[in-house]
Amino acid sequence: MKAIMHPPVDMFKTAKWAFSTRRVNRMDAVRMNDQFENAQAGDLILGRVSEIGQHRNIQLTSGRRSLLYPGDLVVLACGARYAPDQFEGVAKINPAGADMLAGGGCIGEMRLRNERIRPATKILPLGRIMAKDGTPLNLERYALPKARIPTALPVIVVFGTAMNSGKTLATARLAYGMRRAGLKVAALKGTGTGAFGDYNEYADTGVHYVADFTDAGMVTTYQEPLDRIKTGVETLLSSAERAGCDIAVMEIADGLYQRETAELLNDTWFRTRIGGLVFACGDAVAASGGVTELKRLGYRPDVLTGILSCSPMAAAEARAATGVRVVNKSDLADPSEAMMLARKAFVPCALAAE
Amino acid sequence: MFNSVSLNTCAVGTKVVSVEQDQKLTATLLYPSGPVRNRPLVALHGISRDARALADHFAPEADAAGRVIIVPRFARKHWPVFQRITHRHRPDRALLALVADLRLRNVITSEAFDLFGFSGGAQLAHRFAMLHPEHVADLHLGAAGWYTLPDASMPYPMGLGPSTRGDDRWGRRMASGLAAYLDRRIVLYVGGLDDDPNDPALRRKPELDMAQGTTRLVRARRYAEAIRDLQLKNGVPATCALHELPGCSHDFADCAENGGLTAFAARPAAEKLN
Repeated sequence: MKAIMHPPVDMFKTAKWAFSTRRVNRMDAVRMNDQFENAQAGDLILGRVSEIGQHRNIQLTSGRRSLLYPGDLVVLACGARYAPDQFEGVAKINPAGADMLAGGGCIGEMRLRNERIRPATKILPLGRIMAKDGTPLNLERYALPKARIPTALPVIVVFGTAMNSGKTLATARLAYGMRRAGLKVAALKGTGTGAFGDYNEYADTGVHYVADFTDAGMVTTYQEPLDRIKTGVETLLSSAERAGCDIAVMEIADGLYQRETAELLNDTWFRTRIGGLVFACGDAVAASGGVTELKRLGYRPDVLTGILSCSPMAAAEARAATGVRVVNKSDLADPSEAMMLARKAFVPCALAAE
Repeated sequence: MFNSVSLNTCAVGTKVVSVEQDQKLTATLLYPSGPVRNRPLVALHGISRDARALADHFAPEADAAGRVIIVPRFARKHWPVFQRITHRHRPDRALLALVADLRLRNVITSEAFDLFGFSGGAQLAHRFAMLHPEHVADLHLGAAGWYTLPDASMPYPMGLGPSTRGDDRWGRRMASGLAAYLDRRIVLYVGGLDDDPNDPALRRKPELDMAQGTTRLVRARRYAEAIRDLQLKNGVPATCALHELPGCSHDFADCAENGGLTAFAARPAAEKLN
């Protein structure tokens, strides 16, 4: 291990800790090393902002955004990112300069960038944060306990055609509708990139329990093995079950073709575990394509929603093309509609396409 | 949405709760003087909106049955329509919000409550129970003017098919809870003299008359029969019963004082008068 250049504890205290690190006990952060070549996804990295790019803010553990200034110290988690409207990046730290891949607190190496956005904010890595015993601090260390026995909590999943198709709003409104119907509801995010936007949107509905994959120890789920993602999903469901929830609504990030999303949909355990499927999409053609792809995989969505549902004409086209009902955000938030979806989810294995 | 709540004591053992959701809903709470032995009963008034009459007649039953009785009042100002559930009029959501509030106050501690309605209140009661059967235990329907039949061949709100405007949402929602709706005790009450086809308060339309009959008495008989048949078809106990109250008209006080309506509805099955 190389020499520590600076007593780090004061730096840890000064730094802005990103939302993705919210479960970390900061008292454990006492040392650093600069063996960045060994950095793993989830490792905590102390860095200094060297150049402001796409991300001008960092999402803090307190739930608010903080403007970033060159020279700011930040604590982020090493991770990969998949965001077609921003970056693709990998969980790798370049000692000469790393990339802030997500405002929620993901640092790595950018590989691809959407041409409509700016280059990533540059972070000069100062060290991997270590515990007193010299082990690297990793989000996994602070994760919720893994499920000891398989869970039975009914779960409705929300998929979509892509980012920004309306999945988060659908998840929040459906959870809200169920809460209004008198259920104890968990709003969960099963895959994606750690950020407080979705988390807070869920929490604002007043549901009984909110968690995401960062609570299961992953800063993002991109390039994580399927087994780990499934363990994370089961961890979240187990935690919601222990919290006394009656049902969970779980958002799965990105589109159907995204690698981890596609793997989940192809997984037998996942197929039998879910009790309902809501599909968010932007227009009737997207709806038709999504329903066809889901059918190929053996699923039939219970309802279509998302941006599509804002337009009565588009909704009518989609229903005619797919035969699947279209519901808007008000419908999902309605306790009678939400209960209709919940009742189906209470019957196990109800989802398989006929 | 419904976080504005006030609680005012107006008499010993009686409180008024107001819950604000889309519209304001008030309720009188009748507490037994002794220990609570049975789950709460929610009692819904008819189109006269005379919640006080319900409270007065149910008050002795709160003591006799050892249960909290909750009497909401749908004020005309906020609820021009409360008997039916439509996209514009959502008395079901107001009731859900009231129930959620009463759970937070530990007034309702059981998983479900019994539900009673008279006349227009019985219309709302059975529609609420069809939409939200998980909240309702025993259902008591007093002299409803007409019913939403669990029949997909008729348009909503007469049945569960698409409305005449093509909207299939209500029918679907109620159909999804139908098995749960049927799996409970459903008791109908109607005055033996409630047989005037020309009662101006009675909804009359040819298709309604044909499907349900021309008087409340006939409509109650047909509904009870339809529900019993469906219960048998669904493999649940055929618990639906009709009590015709001899000599009683379409008047809540008359049915309560001379027909024993409130005692029938408020006392659990094991404690019935007869």
